[in-house]
Amino acid sequence: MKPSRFQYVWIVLLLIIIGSSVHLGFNPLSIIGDAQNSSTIIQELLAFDFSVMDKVVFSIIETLEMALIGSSIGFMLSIPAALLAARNVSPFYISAIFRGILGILWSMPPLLWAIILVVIVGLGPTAGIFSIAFFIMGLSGKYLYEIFESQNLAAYDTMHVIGATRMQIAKFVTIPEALPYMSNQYLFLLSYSVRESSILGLVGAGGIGFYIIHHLESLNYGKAAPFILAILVVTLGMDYISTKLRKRLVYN
Amino acid sequence: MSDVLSMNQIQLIINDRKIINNLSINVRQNNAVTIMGPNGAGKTTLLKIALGLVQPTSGELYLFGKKGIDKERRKLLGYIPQNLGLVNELSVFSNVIIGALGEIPRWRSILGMYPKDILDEVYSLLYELKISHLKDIKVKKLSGGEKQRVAIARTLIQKPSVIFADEMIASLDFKAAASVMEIFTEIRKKKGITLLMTHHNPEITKMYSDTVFIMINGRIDKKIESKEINKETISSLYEA
Repeated sequence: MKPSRFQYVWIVLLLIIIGSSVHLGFNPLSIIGDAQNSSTIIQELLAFDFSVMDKVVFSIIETLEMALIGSSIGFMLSIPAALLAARNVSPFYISAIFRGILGILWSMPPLLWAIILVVIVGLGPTAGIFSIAFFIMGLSGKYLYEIFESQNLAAYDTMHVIGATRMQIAKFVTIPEALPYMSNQYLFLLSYSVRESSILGLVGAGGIGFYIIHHLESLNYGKAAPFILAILVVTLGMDYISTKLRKRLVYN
Repeated sequence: MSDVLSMNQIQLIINDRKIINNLSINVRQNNAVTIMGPNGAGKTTLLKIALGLVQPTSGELYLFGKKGIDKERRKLLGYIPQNLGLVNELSVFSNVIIGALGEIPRWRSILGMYPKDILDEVYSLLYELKISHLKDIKVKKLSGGEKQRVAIARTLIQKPSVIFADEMIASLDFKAAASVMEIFTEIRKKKGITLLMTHHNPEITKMYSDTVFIMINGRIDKKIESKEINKETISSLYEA
């Protein structure tokens, strides 16, 4: 039986995966081969050293603050940017410019932004806050302009007949209609930013990641463990709270 | 009485398909006109052309005796689109004030500082349409009949000379539709507004229209007096 076009696609994809693994020298069994090494590290990680708890509390608060400030700034900026990028609200040339800006902001992950921003604003949480803000602005802006563009056309037609301006359309139709999605999205982005903020310290942009990399590089796995545990607890907690709140928003 | 709207030999061709096919129609001042026809006949497109939302491929359009639509004459047109075009997340009050945006200075509307005379008009219309008690309720929480009244209030506050209502009563049962049309007609007659509407209900047409245009395949097939309309005429039309 001749394979279908769909089956050909899967065969080609499988060949590309195998080819890439060979190219990179990737061996999935290596994780089993290094089992002894892994179990030593796990044992050392499980020997929690709680003498660093004051730093754990300080750094987790810093991480949460970075996520809150960064995601809030990014989200607030994403609203006007998305309005300017939406084709049903803005003229074509303005929307093209803002789509480009949001695309650039979104395509660079926060860690890459942090590497650049540490050079510009120096080590510490300020670089981390900007990294989160830029990325969230891009991500949220892209999502928002797609929501704006998929809105109820009849309301826009009515506004055109009335002779409303673009600003009036944005205030009375575009933003109110998107409000439930926007609140939902903000909560999701906040929880996502906590996760992202926890690794920015790896490059010196503030937050709990700095202590993790410091203790791991000094081979003090027992001291790194409470920080890793704190990230797990906080991110799972944020996820739980954000999901609960978003469900409430949907039902209201 | 003069014609408020006159369309001559209007054509709209999209992708070689004639959506509107040599359509001509005249609507006289203060008349209530219903356009009936099967789905896909071009009724909504006809209204959108009359409102200047869609540009025809060819043909002439006269509004209040002048050719074409300019900004000043468009202000005299009210529009209740299919699904009403209400903003579900805003209150009844905000939805009604949207109709007056053309009359409110831009910065005042953005800051929510509405002129007193406009506010008085909003409250008076809400009272006339018996929805004053719903003023602060979000539109998404209203019933179908209540939503129709909000859409009517939003259109009336524009002080239009002509209202174009597209399938306005589509989602209502006969009792609710008649109740909405009763209030609407009373206000419309008092204010001397011409009405051009589309819907499929022969009873409502008979009760609240003067003239009926039957539309098939993008053109007006015939013009009849609303009292001549009966269920048989309509069912033969939809079976055709």
